[in-house]
Amino acid sequence: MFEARLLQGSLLKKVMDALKDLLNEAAWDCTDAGIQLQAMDNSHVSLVSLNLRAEGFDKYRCDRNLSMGMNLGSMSKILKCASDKDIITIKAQDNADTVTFVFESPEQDKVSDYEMKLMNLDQEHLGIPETDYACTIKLPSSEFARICRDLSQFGESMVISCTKEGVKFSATGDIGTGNIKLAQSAKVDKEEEAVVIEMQEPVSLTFACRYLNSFTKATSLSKSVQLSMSPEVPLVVEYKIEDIGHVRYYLAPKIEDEEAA
Amino acid sequence: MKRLRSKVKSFKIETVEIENPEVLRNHFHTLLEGEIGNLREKLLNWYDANKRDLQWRNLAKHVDQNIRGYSVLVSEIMLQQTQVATVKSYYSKWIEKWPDFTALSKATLEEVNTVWSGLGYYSRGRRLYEAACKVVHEMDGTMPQTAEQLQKQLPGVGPYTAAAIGSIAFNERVGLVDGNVMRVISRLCSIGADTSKKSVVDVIWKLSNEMVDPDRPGDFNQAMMELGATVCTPKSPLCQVCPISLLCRANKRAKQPEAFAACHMDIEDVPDCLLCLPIDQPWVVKDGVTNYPRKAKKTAAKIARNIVLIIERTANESDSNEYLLWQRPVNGLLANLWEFPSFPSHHQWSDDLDKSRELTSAMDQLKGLLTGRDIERCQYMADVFHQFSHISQTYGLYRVAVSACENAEDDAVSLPDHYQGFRWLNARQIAEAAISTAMKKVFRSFTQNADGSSSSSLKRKAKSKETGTVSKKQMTLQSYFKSSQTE
Repeated sequence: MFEARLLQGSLLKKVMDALKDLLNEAAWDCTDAGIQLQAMDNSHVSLVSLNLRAEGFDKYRCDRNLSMGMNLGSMSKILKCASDKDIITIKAQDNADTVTFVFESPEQDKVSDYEMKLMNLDQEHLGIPETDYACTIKLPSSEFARICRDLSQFGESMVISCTKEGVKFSATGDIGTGNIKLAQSAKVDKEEEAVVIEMQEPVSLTFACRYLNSFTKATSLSKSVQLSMSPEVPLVVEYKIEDIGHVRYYLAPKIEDEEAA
Repeated sequence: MKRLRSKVKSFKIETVEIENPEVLRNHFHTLLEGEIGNLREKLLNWYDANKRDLQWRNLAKHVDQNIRGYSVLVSEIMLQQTQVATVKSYYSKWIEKWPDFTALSKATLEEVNTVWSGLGYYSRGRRLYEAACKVVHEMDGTMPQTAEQLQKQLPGVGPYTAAAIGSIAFNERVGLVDGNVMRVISRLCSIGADTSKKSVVDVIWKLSNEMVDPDRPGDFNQAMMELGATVCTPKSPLCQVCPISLLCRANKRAKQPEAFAACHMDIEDVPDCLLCLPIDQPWVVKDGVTNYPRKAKKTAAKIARNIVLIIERTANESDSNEYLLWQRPVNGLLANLWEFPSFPSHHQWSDDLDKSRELTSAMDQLKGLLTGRDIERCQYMADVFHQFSHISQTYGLYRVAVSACENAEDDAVSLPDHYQGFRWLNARQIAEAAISTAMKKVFRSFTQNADGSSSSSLKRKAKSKETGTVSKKQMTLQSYFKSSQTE
C-alpha cells in the first residue's frame, strides 16, 4: 500500500508544471523515505531530478518500494481537475497497475477521485557524482526566468560567466548581442531577493536557451534558485521546495567543436 | 548446522539426518505436490494476462506443424544471448524473406550473413541455414518433433532450444532452463549453490521438468522465461507484482525470516547441502531475494586493442572512393564476415609516445599487405570502442591512401592464413555487406572524421559567417554521467 497526502495540493500542480515541459513520461520511485524521480529529456541533454521527502507530506505511507511509471501528460490533465486549495492524496496498491488521485475540498464537501493507468517504463538511471562546484550563484527565481526569456530572443545559446565581480549572462545572434550583469547584492534584509555568489575559480560555460527556459517553469516553486557550475561539467539549476524537497535540473554544456577547429 | 529443530510439523519426517544432504535437499529445494499445482495455475493465469504480443508467438500457433517448428526454431536461435527488443525487427525481416525451411534452404550463406548482420554470434545464422538444408534435403522437409530428436539431428540446437521447440511448437511435456528460468527456479527453491556448475544445472533442469504443466507445456515454459525477463529480474526483482511470490523460498526468507525458518527447519544454510548458499558467502540481508542465484565470479572481460587500416583507393573520377575489406575465416569469432584489415596492436596507449610507435607498426603491417600499390599516406584518425561479451575491444583507426595500380595483375592483397578473400567496396556497398556491428561502428566513425576534415567543416564555416558566432556542439549528459544500470 502506498499513500501520500498533501494538504497543500497546489504544490503538486506546480511540480507538474516543472516537469511536463521536458518529460513525456517518468517513473516515480516511492520508498519509505519519500518520492524520487529522475529522468532525462528525449535528447538526453538535460535531466530532471525531483525529491519529495516523506516528512514533508501530511500523511505518508509506503509499505513496499514502488516504481510508478506515469504518462505526465495524463497526470497533468488529472491535476488540472484539482483546484488550488484542494487536499491531494496519491494512492496505489502494492502490485497495482493503476494509481489513484483523490482531491478533497478544504471544507470536505467535495471529493473527487481519478484513477490513472500506469506504464511500464524502462528508463536509464544516471549516477550523478557528488561534485564540489567552482561557482554557486543564488538569485531570485523570477529574475532568472526573466533573464532566460530576454536573452533567448537573441540566440539559441547563452553564455553564463561567473567572476569575482558578479555573474554575466550573454547571448549573441542575428539581431545583435545582449548582456546582463548581476552584482552581489548588498541588501540583506530580504534573503530571497539577494544575489549571492560563492566562487573558487571563474567559470564561463555555454548552454542552450531552450532548456533553461524549460527549467524556469519551476519558478513558482521557490522564491530563489541556485545555479552551480564547474568547468566542463553540466550546470545544476536547483529550486528548493519549502519543507519538502527540491527539483534539480542538470544541463550538458555546449562546447567548442574540435573538428571545426 | 547450528539450530536444527528436531520436530517439524509440516513435514512427515521427524528428524533430519545432518550427514545426509539428499534428505535436506528434498525439502529445502523442491516444491511440494500441492505447491506445484498452485504454481502452474498462478503462473499460467499471469502469463495469459501479461504476455507480450510477439510475432513468433502468433506463428507458433500456425496450423502447419512445420511452419510452427520453423518459426519457433528461428525465434529461439535469434533469442540466444540477445534481447527481445533487438530480435523483433530481425525476426520479421527474416520470416518475410524466408517463411519456411524450403525458402531458407535455397538462400546462400552470404545472404544469411547479410540479414543476420548486426545481431551478433554469427555462427547461429550459419547453423540455422545448415539446419534448414538438412531438413529439406535429408528429412523430406519434415523436422523432428521431439526435443530428444531435435537436439540429436539439427545443427545448432542444444538442450534448451530443443526443449523450447518441443514444448512450444509440438506441445511436448518437457521443461526447459535458460538464464531467466535458472534465476526464477534458484529463487523459488532457494538454490544458492554456484549455478555455473553442471551438477546444479542438472538439478534445476530436473526441477523444471517436474514443474512444467502437462497440458500447456509451451505456455508454461514461456511464462517462466517471461517472468524471469520482466519480473524476477537480476538486480531489482518486482516481488510485489510476482504471481508466485507466496511460493518463493527466497521471498519468504527475505520478507518473513521466521516463517522461512519454520518451514525449512532452519534459517541457516546447511553446510553439507549441495544446493544451499555456500557457508563462506552467507545470506546478505540487504540483498534480499537477489541473494539467489549465486554465480562464480566471471573472469574479467579481456581487454584488446587492434589496429584497423582503412585503405582507400580513388576510383574513376566520378565514382566514390573504395575501401579494402577482407573476409574472415570459416570458423572462430565473427566467422565469414567482412572487415577492414585489422591486426592486434602491441601498444596500450597512455601517451603520445605510444601513439607514434603504433603508427610505425601499422606501417609495417601495411608494407607486407599490398603488392602493386604504393602507400601515399597513413594517418591516425580515431579510437573506436566495442564491447563484445567477452572482450573489451578498442580499435585504433588508421586512414591509408594508396596509389593507383598500374598493372591489374599486380593488384593483390596478401591475406593472413585462412582468410577467404578481399574486395574493394564503396560506402554504399559497405552499408549492405555482411559486416559486424563493431566494423559498422568503425566505418561510421571513419566517415564522421573524414567528413569533418572536408565538406561539413566548410558548411559550418559558412554558417558561422552568417550568424557571426562560433559554432558549438551540444553535449549530452551521457558524456558526463555514467548509467548506473549495467544491464
